[in-house]
Amino acid sequence: MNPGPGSVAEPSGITELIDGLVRQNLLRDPTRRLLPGDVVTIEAIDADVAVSIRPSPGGIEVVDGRDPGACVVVSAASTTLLELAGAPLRFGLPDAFTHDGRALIADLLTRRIRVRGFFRHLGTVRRLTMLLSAR
Amino acid sequence: MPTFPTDAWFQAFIVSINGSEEYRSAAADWEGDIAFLVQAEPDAHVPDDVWGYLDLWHGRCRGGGVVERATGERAAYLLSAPYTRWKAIVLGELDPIKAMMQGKLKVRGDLPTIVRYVRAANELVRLTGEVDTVFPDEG
Repeated sequence: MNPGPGSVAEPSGITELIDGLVRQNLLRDPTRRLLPGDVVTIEAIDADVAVSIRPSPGGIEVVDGRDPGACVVVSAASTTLLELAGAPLRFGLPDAFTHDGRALIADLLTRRIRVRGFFRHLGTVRRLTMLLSAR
Repeated sequence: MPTFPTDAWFQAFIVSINGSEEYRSAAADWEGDIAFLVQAEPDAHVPDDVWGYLDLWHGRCRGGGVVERATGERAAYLLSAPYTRWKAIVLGELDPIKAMMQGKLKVRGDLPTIVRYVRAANELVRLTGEVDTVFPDEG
């Protein structure tokens, strides 16, 4: 799957960042993808900005703001969101066998990272983390 | 005290980087040079764009300073913002990662690598606050 146009007229920083990360990750590994219905919103709560990611006919679309139809909403501080993208993964989730992975699991358990739809849409969560993973 | 963003300031910054155990640990595998574009704000006594440059390698800074635009543009990574935003970052008033998310600090380069080294990037920017600094608009 190739990344789609995925841009708006004046994207916010988080949109530019996530759009660039998705594009560069897909160049490295074109097998990463979202499935139809995998609509996700990511919120940087300290910066009061949000971005939404969804599959599109041409690939993957990254747009400014919250998507009211998102089945998964990830909310965390800006630095924590980047740490999540940079964490080592195992089966699409933070790797509990690494220090960084355990730190993120602790953030999930203490709700420093909130993932609405985590259990109901676990497949979407795994595809999202793999799509955004910098590893 | 060096004035931001002069070559003397960047030399003091390099001393600060090379004295940081935290940065050395966080960036132990980092390979890549970084340019800092401080965009002109004539009203704040920064009449021209200033390009800072750091040659970063495995947790150390091998050199750098104020460079020509062509040198800065060749760097693997570029961080750019207007002078007053950099000043807020140096003073610790603006979190650099939050500024990136809000589009106040622009980043160019291999984003997956930047994301993997977010702790090192944070420490690098935190170290700017360790430099005793004079600002040209506070003269």
